Amino acid sequence: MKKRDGVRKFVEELILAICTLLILVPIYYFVIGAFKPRKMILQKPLILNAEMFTMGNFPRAIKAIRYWPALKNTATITLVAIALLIVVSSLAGFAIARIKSRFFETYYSLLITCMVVPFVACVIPLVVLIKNLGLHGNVLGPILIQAGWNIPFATFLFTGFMKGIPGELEDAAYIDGCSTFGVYWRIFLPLLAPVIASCCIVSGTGIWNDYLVCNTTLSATKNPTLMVGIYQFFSEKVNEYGYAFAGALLTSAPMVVLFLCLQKYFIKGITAGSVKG
Amino acid sequence: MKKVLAMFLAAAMVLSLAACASQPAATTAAATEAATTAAATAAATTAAATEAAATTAAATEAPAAEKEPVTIETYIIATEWGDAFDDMMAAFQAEYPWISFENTNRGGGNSGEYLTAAIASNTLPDLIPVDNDELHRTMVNDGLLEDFNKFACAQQIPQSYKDAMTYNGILMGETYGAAFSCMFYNMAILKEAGWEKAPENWQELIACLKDISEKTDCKQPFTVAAGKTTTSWMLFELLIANACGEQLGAGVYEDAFKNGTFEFNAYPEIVEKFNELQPYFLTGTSAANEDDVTTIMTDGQAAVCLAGNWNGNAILDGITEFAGDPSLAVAALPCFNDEGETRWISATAETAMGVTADSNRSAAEEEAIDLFVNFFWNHYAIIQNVAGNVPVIPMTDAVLKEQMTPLVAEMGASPFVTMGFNLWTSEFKDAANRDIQDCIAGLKSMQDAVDAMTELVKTSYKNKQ
Amino acid sequence: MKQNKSIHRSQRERQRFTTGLLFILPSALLVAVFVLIPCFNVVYLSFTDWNGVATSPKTFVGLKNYVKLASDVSDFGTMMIATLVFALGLTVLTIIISFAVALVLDKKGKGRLPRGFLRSSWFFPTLLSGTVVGVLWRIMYNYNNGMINKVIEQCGGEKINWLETVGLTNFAIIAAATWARLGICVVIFMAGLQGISADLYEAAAIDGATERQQRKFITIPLMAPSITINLLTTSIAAYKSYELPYLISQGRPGTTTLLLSQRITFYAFQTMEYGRSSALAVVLIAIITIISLLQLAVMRKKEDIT
Repeated sequence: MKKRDGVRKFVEELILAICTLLILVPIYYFVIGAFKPRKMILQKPLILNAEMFTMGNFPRAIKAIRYWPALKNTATITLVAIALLIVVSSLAGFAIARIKSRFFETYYSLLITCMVVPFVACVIPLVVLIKNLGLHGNVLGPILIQAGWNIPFATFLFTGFMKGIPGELEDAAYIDGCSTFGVYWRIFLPLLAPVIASCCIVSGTGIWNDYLVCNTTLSATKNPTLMVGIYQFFSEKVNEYGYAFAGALLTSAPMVVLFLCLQKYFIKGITAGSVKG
Repeated sequence: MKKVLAMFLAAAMVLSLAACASQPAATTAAATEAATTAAATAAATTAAATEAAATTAAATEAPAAEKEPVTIETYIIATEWGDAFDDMMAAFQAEYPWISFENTNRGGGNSGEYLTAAIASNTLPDLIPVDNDELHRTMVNDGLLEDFNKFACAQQIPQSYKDAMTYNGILMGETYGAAFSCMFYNMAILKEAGWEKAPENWQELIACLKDISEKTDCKQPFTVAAGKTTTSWMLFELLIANACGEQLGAGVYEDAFKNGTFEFNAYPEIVEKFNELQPYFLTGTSAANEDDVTTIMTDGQAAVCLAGNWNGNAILDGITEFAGDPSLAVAALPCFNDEGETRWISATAETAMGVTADSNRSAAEEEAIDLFVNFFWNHYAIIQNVAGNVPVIPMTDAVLKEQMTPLVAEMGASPFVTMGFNLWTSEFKDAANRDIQDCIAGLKSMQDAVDAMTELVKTSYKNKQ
Repeated sequence: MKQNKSIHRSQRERQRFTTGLLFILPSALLVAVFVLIPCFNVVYLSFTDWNGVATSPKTFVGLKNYVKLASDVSDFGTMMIATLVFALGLTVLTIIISFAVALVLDKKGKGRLPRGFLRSSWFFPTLLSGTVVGVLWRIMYNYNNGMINKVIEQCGGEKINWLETVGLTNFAIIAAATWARLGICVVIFMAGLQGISADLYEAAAIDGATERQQRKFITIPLMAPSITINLLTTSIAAYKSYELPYLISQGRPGTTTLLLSQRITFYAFQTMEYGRSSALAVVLIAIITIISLLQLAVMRKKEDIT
């Protein structure tokens, strides 16, 4: 038994290793591309030798993207939008999942159907709306848009997981005289760590990497953002792959850090032992 | 977890307050930034650019009169001009220090999204790039573009460029330069196949390609950046030009195209010639963009390529790198003409800089725009040269590659057809070029493509009311 | 006594309902303003002749745009097939691979590779924006100089024409999109796996269940919500996705990889036919809604059975 388990473990790990390697190959290509001049990316894609190694892409990318102001703006937009998103969606998710009502159920179905609307088709009316609200050129525009468009998905996540939490916890809290908001704040929220983490990561990367909203509602000089900055490297005439890859590396670096920080909330299992079912 | 969440929310609230309140005074910051970075990169720029910038700054010691600061909003895609553009802007700022620029968008692949959104929401910047395409024609029809004729430099624009950029009586902008089609030859491979000179007409071209594919390792020697609609159509329009140009005369094809009456399938020569050429296309040509073509030529995977002059510098450098000798990198005008007949090429005026119409501009803003537009006209030639492009007014000390300089004069003397993007609707462009790409890849017959185009242009043409 | 209790309960329920409404209000407001208003605008515009300019008239033309869509049957048909193939391929591939990976990644312990590094590796592709991924894969798929063909050649094989072969190009864009999507699905599956108490497995092991049985009877049923979430969101994202596939193949060869969403951007931003673009958007919304409802129905049945 043990031997078979050992073999199976080894085979699993081997397949996992091979698949991981396959996934990493394009990343390898992308990362070494940031250290190569543009021509070498196209001509000699696989290798990075001492000859072609250059750090020159980075200062160029930083200057062209205006990295530090762009980082500040993108971070602001992402953080505020995510905070707003989580607060607003977890509240709604709690109400939908834990309060029995036909009204909420219908509302939930309608909210979920909002997920099907393609953003790209609504860009023009959305930009007109932003202008009419007086938010054109203001970072608040992208913040509200991103929060709004991610709410259906986030509520979907929160409702789903909240439904899965056993009712005894809740009943116990009510018997103890807890208010509805108190149940939400003290009992459910702590249990939702994995969901909040997933929401942060999934929606967060979407907002961080957004190009369309910021391109059409913000001015590149007053409020530069990261992806809009990288996009300028791909023009009609010239594709500056080297600068773009360097810029993309710098852009995704904060997201990688965020993921590394949040991933322990996946390992640290929820307090499963609190309720013996 | 709750502590983290609370801190997180607090940080977000602080940031959101800062976000709403702050209106970073980035305009003056951007100006000084441009000046300092320009100064820092001055050493790295070409001699011509630095000299010109220095002389301008020295010559015009403009007294900084009491002028109120003015900001012009621009949408200028400067990627291909790089440092040269920054230098030019620095020179302008030095001469007119009260004028600053806010670039609302730095462009990229999908400029259509930004412009359409700006048009829809009434937030267009003052200066934008213009082309003679649907988007800008719509702008003209709706009164969104200023008639460029009101600016002084418009008098200096050569008539043919003015005509190319005029729609409904409005001159849309000052064109950046001229563009034309070229062929580039890797003479190292041609010599190996027994050709000491580049071919000079269609029959020679086919014979040359045949020899190369039989006698060298280069089995599929011809390539073009067919992944891009401008260049995939370039191949096709050269066939059109040489099939009917002489017989119809200058401008007839263009007018017929714009009026939806041109019959592509009335000229069997187009299909015949294409079919002769088809076996020699390098695999992957139909999906190749200009970077790919440059890499292909640098690696010697193809020996002959059709490209625009704007790609010339890169391709010639690539061939030189492959062959080791610059004399083996040859550029010539495309020889799609039959033996003994006149050679027709394709050319166009490039993208132009236009001014949007805005009745709310102050007199100071109008003056600033006027100054910049004229300044740009007098200086952009430098930045065009640095990018290896051909300015409208050729400069005697042009920084073009030596292989390209004689072509400019030849181009001026050659009969030409206007490049497709001035003539088609977006719908036609999309459908026709997909067909051409399929034909190049061997997935469709050119006869079918030509028939489809003839049908389509009847309903989808530029001058439709 | 009993009466008091029931009055108490209905009062409490009403209170909870009001509180619930308050809880829902902020998100409802945001969605109504920023999602629904533009969406209704789009539906309205699909019945007009607007060309996208603020000062232009929005003349009502009834069903003209829809009729135009329906009349070009072959074009529309090709586009539908391309969209369906892409969405189906992406969804199926992503769900299967990410589920398997999440299962293995969840297991820790001696003799196993470092989980932190592996998790980060699988997640890294999703951190890149669609634009970067599209450009990256396009260069990789290049026939003459692309990385993939260079590797194949080094291994002694023949170069594959990824971007010019009908059918193969569809697979090429699916592969690239899957690569970019896997991370999110793995993350969600892992969050779901965390929710399964270890006690259940212990109890089953004590009862003598093998690992495969445990997986079949504990893991998969309890993962049903995560599977639904991933299925729905990946499928919806696939239908809405437009820039990643476009950057790789631009709809080539011909229009066999041209997706509905790309046509929407074409009519909106290039031909300035905003009415037509909106009509197409409405059709896309309808398609996604129908498919999502179908998927929900199927998943609900599965959840009921278990």
